Amino acid sequence: MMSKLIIRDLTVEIVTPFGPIFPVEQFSLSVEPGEIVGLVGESGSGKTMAMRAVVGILPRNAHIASGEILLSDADNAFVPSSQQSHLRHNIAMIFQNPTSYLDPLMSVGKQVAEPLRFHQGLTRKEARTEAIELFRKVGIHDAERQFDVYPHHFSGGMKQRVLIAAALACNPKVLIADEPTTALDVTIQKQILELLCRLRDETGISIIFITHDLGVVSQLCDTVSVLYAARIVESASTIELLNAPLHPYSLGLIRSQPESAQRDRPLPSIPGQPPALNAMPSGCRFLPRCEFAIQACKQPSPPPLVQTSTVRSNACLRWRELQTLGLNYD
Amino acid sequence: MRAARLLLSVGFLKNNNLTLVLGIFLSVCWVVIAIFAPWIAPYDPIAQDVARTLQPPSFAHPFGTDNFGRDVLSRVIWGSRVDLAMGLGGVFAPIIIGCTIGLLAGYFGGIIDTLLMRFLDITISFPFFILMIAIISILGPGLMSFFIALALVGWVSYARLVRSRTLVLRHSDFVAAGQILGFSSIRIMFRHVLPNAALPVLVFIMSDVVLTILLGSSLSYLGLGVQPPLAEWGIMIAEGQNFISTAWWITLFPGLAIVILALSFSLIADGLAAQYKVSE
Amino acid sequence: MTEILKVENLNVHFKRSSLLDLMRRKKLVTKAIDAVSFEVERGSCIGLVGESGCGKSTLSKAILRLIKPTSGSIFFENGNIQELKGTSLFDYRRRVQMIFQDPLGSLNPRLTAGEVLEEVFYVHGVRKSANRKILVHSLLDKVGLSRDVVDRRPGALSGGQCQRIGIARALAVDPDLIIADEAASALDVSIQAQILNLLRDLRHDMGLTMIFVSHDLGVVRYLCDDIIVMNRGQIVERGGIDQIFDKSTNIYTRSLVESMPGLHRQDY
Repeated sequence: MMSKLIIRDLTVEIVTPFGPIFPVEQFSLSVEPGEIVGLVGESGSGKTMAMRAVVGILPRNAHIASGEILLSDADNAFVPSSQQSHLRHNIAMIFQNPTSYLDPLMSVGKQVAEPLRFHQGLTRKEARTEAIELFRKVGIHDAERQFDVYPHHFSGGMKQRVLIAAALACNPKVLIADEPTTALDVTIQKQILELLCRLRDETGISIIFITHDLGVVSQLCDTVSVLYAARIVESASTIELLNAPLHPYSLGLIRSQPESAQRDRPLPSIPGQPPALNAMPSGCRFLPRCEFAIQACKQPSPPPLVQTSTVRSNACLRWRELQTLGLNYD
Repeated sequence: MRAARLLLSVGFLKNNNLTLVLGIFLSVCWVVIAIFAPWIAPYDPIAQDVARTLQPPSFAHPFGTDNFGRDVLSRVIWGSRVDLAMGLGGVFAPIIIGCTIGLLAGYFGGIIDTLLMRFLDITISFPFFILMIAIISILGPGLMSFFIALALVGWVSYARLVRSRTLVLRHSDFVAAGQILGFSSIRIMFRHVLPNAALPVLVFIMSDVVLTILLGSSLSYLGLGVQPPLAEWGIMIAEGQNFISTAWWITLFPGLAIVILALSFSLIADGLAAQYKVSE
Repeated sequence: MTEILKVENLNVHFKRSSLLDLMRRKKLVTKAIDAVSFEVERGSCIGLVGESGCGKSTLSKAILRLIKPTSGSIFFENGNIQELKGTSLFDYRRRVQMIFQDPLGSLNPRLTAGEVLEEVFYVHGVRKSANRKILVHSLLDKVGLSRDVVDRRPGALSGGQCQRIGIARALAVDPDLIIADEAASALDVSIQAQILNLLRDLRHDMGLTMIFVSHDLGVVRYLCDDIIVMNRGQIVERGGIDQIFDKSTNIYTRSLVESMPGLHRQDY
C-alpha cells in the first residue's frame, strides 16, 4: 500500500519566442511513505510547476527537459517515469481555489462518485456508497444529505473537503496539496490541516504540501524544502530548518516572519526582489540580495545542492559559517 | 520535438500579427485609393459614352463599361470614397452616443441605469432594418439621413458593450482609489473606466464599419441611400442586376470591392482581438 | 491624546430580495455592520481583525464614505462625515486615505506610475507640470522606489513595487488617517516584511493614524497598539496586544488566536 516517491534532477523547460526559460531546475525530492513534505517558496519560485510536472499537467508550452520521477509499487520496486499511467493513478493533487475545480452544475457527491465509476468500474449505487464513505472520511457531517447538494451551498472550507475527498477517491499513494488553505480563514485552515494530518495517520498516504507560509509548515510538515528562483536552496527536517537554517534565504524568510518579530524593532527583511525567470543572475541566484555573499559566490553556475548531513542538504557555499551564527544575530 | 514546439510558438505569434498587419495594409490601400481617386481613376465616373455601352473588360476598360458606357473601374475607385465615408462616418455618432450612455448607466447604476436600459430595450425591440428604413423614409433618402438614422439606432451595441465592462470596472480597486482621492465622476469615467473598456469596443468598431458599409450599400440598392448617378457600390450592383446574364462585370467588380473592404476591416478586428487576448 | 475618528452605533444592512422573495413577501436583510461603536485616537494604530465576511471591509468602506450606512454616524474630528458636501467633502477625501490589498488591481493598468501619482497632485491643485514632477520624485524617495519607475505601467512592475506606488498615491495628499486593507497579505513573505517596515516607518515619521485591516494576527501583533476583533458584523472584543493574545476570555478571540499558525520553534 505504501509507496516512496523519488524525484531526481527534474528540470522543466518553457519554450518562448525569446528563448527557453527554466521554471524548475535540478529539482530533487524524496518522499517517504506517510511523510508530509513541505515545499516553501515565493510565487514564481517553481514549486507549483515542479509538482505539475510530477502529475503530468504542465501548461502546453512547458515540458520536462530532464530528470526522472520514480514511484515504488506494491512490491517496493520503482516504476520509471516513462509509465505515466502509474504516476497518474497514484498521485492526486488539490489546489488553492476549490471553487474553480468544482462544476457548479453538478452535485458535489456526483463529482466524487463519477471518477469512481469511471476508474474503478463501480455501479452507480456502489459509487454513491463509496463517495459517502469518503465524505465521512474528510469530515463532512451528514454525508448522506450533503451528497446531493450543489457547490454554491458550500463554504470554501467545505469545498476544499470535497476536493480532498475526490482526490482520495482512487486511493492515491501521494497527495500533492498546492496551497490548499491560502484562500481560507485561519480557523478553517486549522481544520483542514488537522484533517490532512489525520488522513496521513489513518491511511499512510504521503503528502507534499506547497505553501509560502512557514507557520503552516511548522504545524504540519515533517521535512521541508525551500525553493528560490527555480532551485531548491535547502532541504531539512522542519524542526532543524526553523531553528537552524543554513541558507541565507531560509534564514531571511524565518527572520522576516512578523509573528516572531520584536515590536520595537524593524522587521529583518530581505532587501530587493526575486529575479525574473528570463533574467537570472549568474552564480548563486540569491547573491544580489544576500548579506553573506563573497567573491566565490559569483562562480558561473549556481552552487549545487550538496548533502551536509544524512538528512540535510544545502546550496550555500558558506553554510558552515552560518551554522555558528544562529538565528538571532545582529 | 523541441524544434517543432519552437516553430509552433513563433508561428502562432506571427500569425496573430499577420492578420492585423494584412488588415491594416488593405485598409490603408483603400484609404489611399479613396483620397487619390481623381488621379487614379482613368475616366470620369459619371461621364456617359453611348457608343461604348456594356463593353466587356479590355485594356481600355479593365473592368468593362456599364449600360450607360461609364467605366466600371473608375466608378469602383470613386465609389470607395462614398463607401468609406459611409462606413467610417456611420459609426462615428453611434460610438459617441453609445459609449456615453453605457458609461453613465454602468457607472451610476440605480435609477439612471434602469431608465437608460429600458430606453435601449425599446430601441432594440424594433427590427433594426425596418427602423432604419422608416427613419430614412421620413427624413428623405441621402447620406445625411443615413447618418442620422444610424445615430438613432446604431448606438445600442456600443452602450451594451461599454456598460457591461463598466459594471465590472466600477468595482475595481483603482476606481475606488480615485473616489477616495476625490476625483470627479467625469474624470473617473473618462480617464479610468473608458480607456480600460476601450479595446473590446475598438474590436467591435471594426466589424461595425463592415456592417455599416453593407447596410449603406443595401439601402442604396433599395434606393434609400446615396442617389444615382453618384458612384456607389450598392447602386452599381443594383443597376447592374438587370444585365447580370449578359454583362456580369457590372455587378462582379463592385461586389468584390465590398468584399475586400469588409475583409480588411474584419482582419483588423480579428488581429486586435487576438492582440487583446495576448495582453490580457 | 485626542480622538480623530469616532464611530457611533453604526449599522450597514444589505437587502437581498430576489423576485421569489418578493412574491413570498419576505425581505432578507444581511447585517454587514451591526451596531458598531468605537473611536480611534490620533497617532495610534488600530488593528481590525476578523475572518472573511465579518464586516471589516464594509466598515472601512463606510468610513471612506464609499457606501452609505443604514443608521448611525461617523465623526471625523467631530464633524459628521455624512453631512459633508462639496469642498468640505473634498477636504475629507484629502485627509482619509486607503491602501488596498491587491497591489496590481488598485492601479489603473493603462497609466504609468508617474501618471498615477501626477494625477493626484493635478486634482489637488498643483497645475504646473514641473512642480508635479518634483513632488512625484520626493514621494518615490519616501516609499523607497527608484525614479525610473515613473515611465512603467503596473504590468511591468513587481507586486511589491505596485504596492509602494499605492502607498505613495495615498501619501500624495498628506492624509491624517490611513486605512490599510490587508496591505501586505497579497505579497510574498520577503516583500511583505519590506512593506510592513515601510508602513511602520511612515507612521512614525509622518505621525499618521492607521487602521490596519487584516486577517493575519501575526502582522497585527507586530504593527498595532490596539486590536478590534470583529465577527458577524459586531465588535467582539477590543483591547491591547496582551489583552487579545494572552488574557482574552472571549471564545471567538481565543479560537482566532489559537488557529494562528505561529512558528513553533520552542519544541526543538
